[in-house]
Amino acid sequence: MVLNQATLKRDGVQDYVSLRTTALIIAAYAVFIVGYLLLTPELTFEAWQGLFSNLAVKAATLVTLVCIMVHTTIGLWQVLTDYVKCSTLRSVLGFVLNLMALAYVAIGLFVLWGV
Amino acid sequence: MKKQVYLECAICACRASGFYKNKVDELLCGQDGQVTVKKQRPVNLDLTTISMPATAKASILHRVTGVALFFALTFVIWAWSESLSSPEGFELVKGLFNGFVAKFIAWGTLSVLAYHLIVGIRHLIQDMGHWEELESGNSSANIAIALSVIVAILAGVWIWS
Repeated sequence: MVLNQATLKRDGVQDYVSLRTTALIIAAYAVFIVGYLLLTPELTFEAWQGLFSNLAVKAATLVTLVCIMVHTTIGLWQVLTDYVKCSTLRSVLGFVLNLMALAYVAIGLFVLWGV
Repeated sequence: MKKQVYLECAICACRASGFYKNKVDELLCGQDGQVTVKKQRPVNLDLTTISMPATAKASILHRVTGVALFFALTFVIWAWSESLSSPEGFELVKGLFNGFVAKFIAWGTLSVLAYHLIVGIRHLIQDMGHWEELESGNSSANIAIALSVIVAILAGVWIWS
């Protein structure tokens, strides 16, 4: 068990729970942002920047981006293992897509840092 | 004609002998040493000849929209980062939304997000043991798809009005 926790290997139960918990967080954040845009008909730069200079919004944004990375790692792995039979191609695609998800988090961090 | 063959178990590679009438794909032996024969079954993977029930459509669309959302994030994160960089960047992104391409990408992203979210909620409800029967499974899939179409239309009205 300790060994299991010390490695980066996932298992089915872990994937199942992670996929769903991250989904809830992403859903809540998406509803919040779309709701904000819906309720703000004339959005100004000041208001937009003010929203993301709020520490709670910064934290929520970064947490959501990390959740998206976890969610897409599991989800895209499920899709890739089902449809890409060649293991070399599957590994390369998985690597590139996971790298993209990590880049989304990195970009998000630096954007939030500058606001 | 029956003939005696020696075959390997697919799991533990132990060898078993027996009389088999037909071609045998695989032998599977249980822990009690009993050997079971897995018969060759017909496999049809030609999607154009398969009639897909609503549950299957909902499932495959959930995957497609998930992958689409991952790539849509590239546009979303770019627009977000540009709009927060400076007042000029904000105006640039705002100006882009006067054109069709940005509007279409935004509408597509919102519609795909709505679908993935609605069918995701259905999935969570199913995890709790509901809508697992043939009828309720199909009707909940149909309702989820119909709801997403309505949200997609509303999103279009919001963006283009």
